[in-house]
Amino acid sequence: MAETTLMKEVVGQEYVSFYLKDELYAINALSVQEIIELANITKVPHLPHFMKGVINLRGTIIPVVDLKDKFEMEAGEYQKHTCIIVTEFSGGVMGLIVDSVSDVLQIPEESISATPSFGAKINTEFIRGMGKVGDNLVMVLVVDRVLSDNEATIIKDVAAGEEAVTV
Amino acid sequence: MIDFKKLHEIFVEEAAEKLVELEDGLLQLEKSPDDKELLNVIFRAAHTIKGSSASIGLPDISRFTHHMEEVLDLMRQEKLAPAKETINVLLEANDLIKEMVEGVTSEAVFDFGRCENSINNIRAIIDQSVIAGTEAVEQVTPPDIVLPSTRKESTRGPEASGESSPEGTGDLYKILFVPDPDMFKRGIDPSVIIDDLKDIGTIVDIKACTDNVPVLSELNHENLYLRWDIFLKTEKNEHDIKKAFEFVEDGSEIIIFPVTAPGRDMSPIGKMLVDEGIVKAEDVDVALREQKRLGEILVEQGKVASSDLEKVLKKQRNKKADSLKNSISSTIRVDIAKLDHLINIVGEMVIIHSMFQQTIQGNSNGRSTPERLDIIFSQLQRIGKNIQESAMSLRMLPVGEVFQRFTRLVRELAESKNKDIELIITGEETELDKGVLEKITDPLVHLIRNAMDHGIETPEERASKGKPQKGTLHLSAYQMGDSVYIEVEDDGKGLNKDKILEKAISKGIISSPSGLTDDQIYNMIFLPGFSTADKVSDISGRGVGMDVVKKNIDMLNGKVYIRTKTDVGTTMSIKLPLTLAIIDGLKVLVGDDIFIIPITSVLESLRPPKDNVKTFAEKGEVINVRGEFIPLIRLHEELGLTPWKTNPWEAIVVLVSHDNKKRCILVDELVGEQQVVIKNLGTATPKIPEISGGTILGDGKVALVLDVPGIIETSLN
Repeated sequence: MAETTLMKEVVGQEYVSFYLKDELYAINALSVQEIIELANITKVPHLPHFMKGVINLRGTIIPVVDLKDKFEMEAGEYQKHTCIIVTEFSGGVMGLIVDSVSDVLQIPEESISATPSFGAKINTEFIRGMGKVGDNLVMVLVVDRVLSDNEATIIKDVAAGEEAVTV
Repeated sequence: MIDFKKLHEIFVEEAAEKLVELEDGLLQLEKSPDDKELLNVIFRAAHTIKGSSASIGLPDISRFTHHMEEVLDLMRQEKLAPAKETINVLLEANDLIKEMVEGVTSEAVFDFGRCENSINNIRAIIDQSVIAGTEAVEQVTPPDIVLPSTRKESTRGPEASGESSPEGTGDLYKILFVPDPDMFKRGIDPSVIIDDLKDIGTIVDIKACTDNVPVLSELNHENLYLRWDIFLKTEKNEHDIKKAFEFVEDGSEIIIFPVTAPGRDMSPIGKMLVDEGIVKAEDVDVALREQKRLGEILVEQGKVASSDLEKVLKKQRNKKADSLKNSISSTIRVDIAKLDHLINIVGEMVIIHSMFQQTIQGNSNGRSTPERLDIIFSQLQRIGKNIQESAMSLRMLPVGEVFQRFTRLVRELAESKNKDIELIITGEETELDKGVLEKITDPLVHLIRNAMDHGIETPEERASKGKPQKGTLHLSAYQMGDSVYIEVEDDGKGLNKDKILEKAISKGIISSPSGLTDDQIYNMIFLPGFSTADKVSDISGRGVGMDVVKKNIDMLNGKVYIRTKTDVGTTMSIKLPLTLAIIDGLKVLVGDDIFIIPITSVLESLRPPKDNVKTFAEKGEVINVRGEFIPLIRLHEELGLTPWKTNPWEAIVVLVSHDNKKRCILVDELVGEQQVVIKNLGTATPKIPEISGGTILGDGKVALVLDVPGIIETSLN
């Protein structure tokens, strides 16, 4: 019992932080499977724009999402430090393309504040809150929400389209 | 400490196998009641379940199976005919055992009380046969036991005749005592134990079974070959009886359970009526045998509305259907010949390995090293292919495993629908990938139900049409090319085209019946929410189902075809790819991307002369291939790519066909042919209709595998 409580405390605190441009983001370390170099991405037609395609992860094919595209940030060329964070979430495994991985951070639960409102334009569903590490602010993301309901609808639409065709 | 969990796992697997054997056997027995060998197989299956459940501490299962075994034993001794009634009772018992066995894994508590009804039914059968048949059981009385009564009397029981018992009071127990064969060596005399039993109650009947005694030449006088069935009447409980066996428990098998003689399963009121002399015991027995199901009684008494009862019964049936679904386990039984073959090839691999080593060390047997390497390489290629084929074949299972299970389904459905239907199974040996086989079970169940419910008419209706009263359901499987076909064929009334049209119009699926081919009309039954049944029954007709059937088969890259003729019958033909994982693919280049087209869909590839490329206003671009005008699909347009070449006479067109539809697919270049392993694109990747999956090329890059049916269908829109 004691062990599990201990585990829980740690769970809430360890985050992998990374940069998109010069903004710092973080995701729960437990959802990170590994971090790999940017691999050869195979484009897949008809995917949402931020889904760059699929890669071969040691024999398993996984989709990759460009987080900058997803957050509608200005896309830049992929650099030397660009890498893929392989994450596990409720929908499976997916790779997140980020500009560079920074560090593993300890963020205490209480120092994560609620998401400030950015206005209607930006979907804040996948942002859990803002964390403070030293003087830096870090955006804590919820991996499960990165492929939001919108994309789920796209998936459904694609499926529905197929249905209509088979008539 | 014994790891019971592990033991239980082994038991569950074994029992599941035996239960299938048992069920199949019982169903076959009904058709060929004189098959002695079959009966033996069934008996052994039941016996194994009984024995192994007892040995790992699952007394409920062993107790219950014992009843079943007794009936089977009577059949073996030809004292009981395998009548339909009897088979029904045994099948029911089989289901209960199945549930109990499943309960072992899920650690669910099984209420043994639920078996009571079944036990009573079984006892009734046994008693009937005992009364009817002459007493021919070989009875060997141990020297110091006085046999108080014959078995016939004992099972009729004193209460049943309404007299007070002269043979002691208390409950009747049956004790199965299979002593340790080495008992004599340990200085224990089994007759002492039987004497002990006499101290705690009255032995009503004792029977020594001598079937294990070998011929004299093989008889070891130090071994104990006998086992005993003892009927004991005592006021003590099971625990106390067990105490008598305390010293011999190790190595012996002791099963104790209370016996309900016919007088006992009489309801208290029945017994009182007999005691008061108002009715005769036989009359009560008859009445009890005719007793209605509990549910019906409750309805009659107004305790339960019949609609509610229907619901619960439906639930019960669904539960049965579920158990059918779950019965494919995650383990696989492999023909040993297949394994041997694989091991042989691996052996060859080891030889190549040493050849390679020799070559590296410079020992080339007179040949130049490159020459040697070339030989090694070509052998390695051959072996690699063999290993792959052989490993894939391990996944292949005969469809018979699934087909056999439908025997039961058909039998029960036919009974509940009052239809006379014979199931004919052919092509059981056709092999299918285990994964496909698992996913095809549900759709098949549905198709069979449909055929029986809507297809095959009632005997009266059939007679009036001049058809044989007995309907036929033909379940077949065969391989043709690289596809496996599974067909469900009935000789029923066929699909009603007008009804389908009417329904489609009323549902707003189509606006007018004109311009549709028969095939298109029939295929509308696969649309969601479409059901032509006038009456919704519990079997089919809820309008969910056929669309799910199609969806499931689509997922397997399969296809369903309908062939139907009014009053002649309907055939549902499912076409499945032989194996899912590995296909021969044609590598093509479009822009910078390599795509794989499954070779099974490719007819040819060509570069058409400029004159053969035409554009028709209503058909779009077509290519004249030896006089046939085939629509052109520009793959780069479908997939949003930038190609190198856009003119068909400069590029390559690949002629593909699916479902009798031919298309030319425009690609930049052919790269080559290769066997590829199809993988899914990851669960988080949305499904794209044109892409069936991906594969990993030699350079580690992912190439997408095109879904030809998907491409043809999206291009139609």
